[in-house]
Amino acid sequence: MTFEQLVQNLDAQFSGKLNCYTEYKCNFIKVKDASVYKDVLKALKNDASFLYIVDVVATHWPKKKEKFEITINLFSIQNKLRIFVKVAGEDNKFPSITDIWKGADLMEREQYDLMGIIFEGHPNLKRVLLPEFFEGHPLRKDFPLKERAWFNNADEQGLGLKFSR
Amino acid sequence: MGLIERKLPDNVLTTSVDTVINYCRKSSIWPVTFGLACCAIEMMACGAAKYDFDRMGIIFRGTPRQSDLMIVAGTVTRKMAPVVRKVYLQMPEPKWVIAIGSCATSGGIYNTYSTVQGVDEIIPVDFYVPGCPPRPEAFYDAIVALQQKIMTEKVIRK
Repeated sequence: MTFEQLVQNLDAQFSGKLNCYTEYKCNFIKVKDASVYKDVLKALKNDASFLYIVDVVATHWPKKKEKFEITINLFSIQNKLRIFVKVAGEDNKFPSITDIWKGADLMEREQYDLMGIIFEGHPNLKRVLLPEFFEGHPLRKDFPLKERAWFNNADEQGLGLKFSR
Repeated sequence: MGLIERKLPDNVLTTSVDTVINYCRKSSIWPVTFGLACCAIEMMACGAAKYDFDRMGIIFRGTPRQSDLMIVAGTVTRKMAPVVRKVYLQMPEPKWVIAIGSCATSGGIYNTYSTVQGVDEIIPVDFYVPGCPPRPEAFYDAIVALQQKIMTEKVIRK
């Protein structure tokens, strides 16, 4: 199955709710109507052999109306086809896709940790890279680059460390 | 010197205990490898055949309890900082620290939310080696400087 065939099948099912295009040799499926977002993903997995979720990416656009955007990188090993499914939202709440691909668990946790995206329905949404006592989400565009005040928030191993620089 | 001249057999040398102990210490520096980033690759190059740390008596140890030198090579993050401190505390005296690379000495280009601005915020450092990463020659410079420092130390009487 090529991307053109996939677009035909999807358009028949979700007419007018998707924007499918190829740019820089990458295949994108932009979900315009967020209410069908998970139905599109379920159709991709169950009907179009996209069994492998490669990555979950979050983007912050502070000047746009829809401030947050999720890009899901899917790969079909059977058809050797890679697609990027995009959905945008005004606030940082998106439905979790861990019920479709279990492998999305840690990827969504990472996006929550660094970008502050709340994935509704995630079984264990807590920080994965940064320590528990960190405040804020550092990969947002409005996060101050040299914010190091949190270094002294906790002395987690009781060693008496003090950071001044 | 005139008093003992020709009174000892030919194969007897006289020296001070400090010199003997310091000579032994400087000739068998066993570092604990604290490779945290790309500087660790350069440290491995120093240990490998071409630059060959072994000929200085330097044998890398995997545990702090057998080591007397800690080579901090790479970017120290806030999350790693207590671990660096804990490994340093586990080393027996006497102990020295060399900070390798821009990141370990000052934070380097990582003037960001997660990076400790110099490992000397956590542990005392004897020698700083700048560079990103430094060449093995710079590593050697620090080792030779450390050996000279060890020879000046007093062991028996402080």
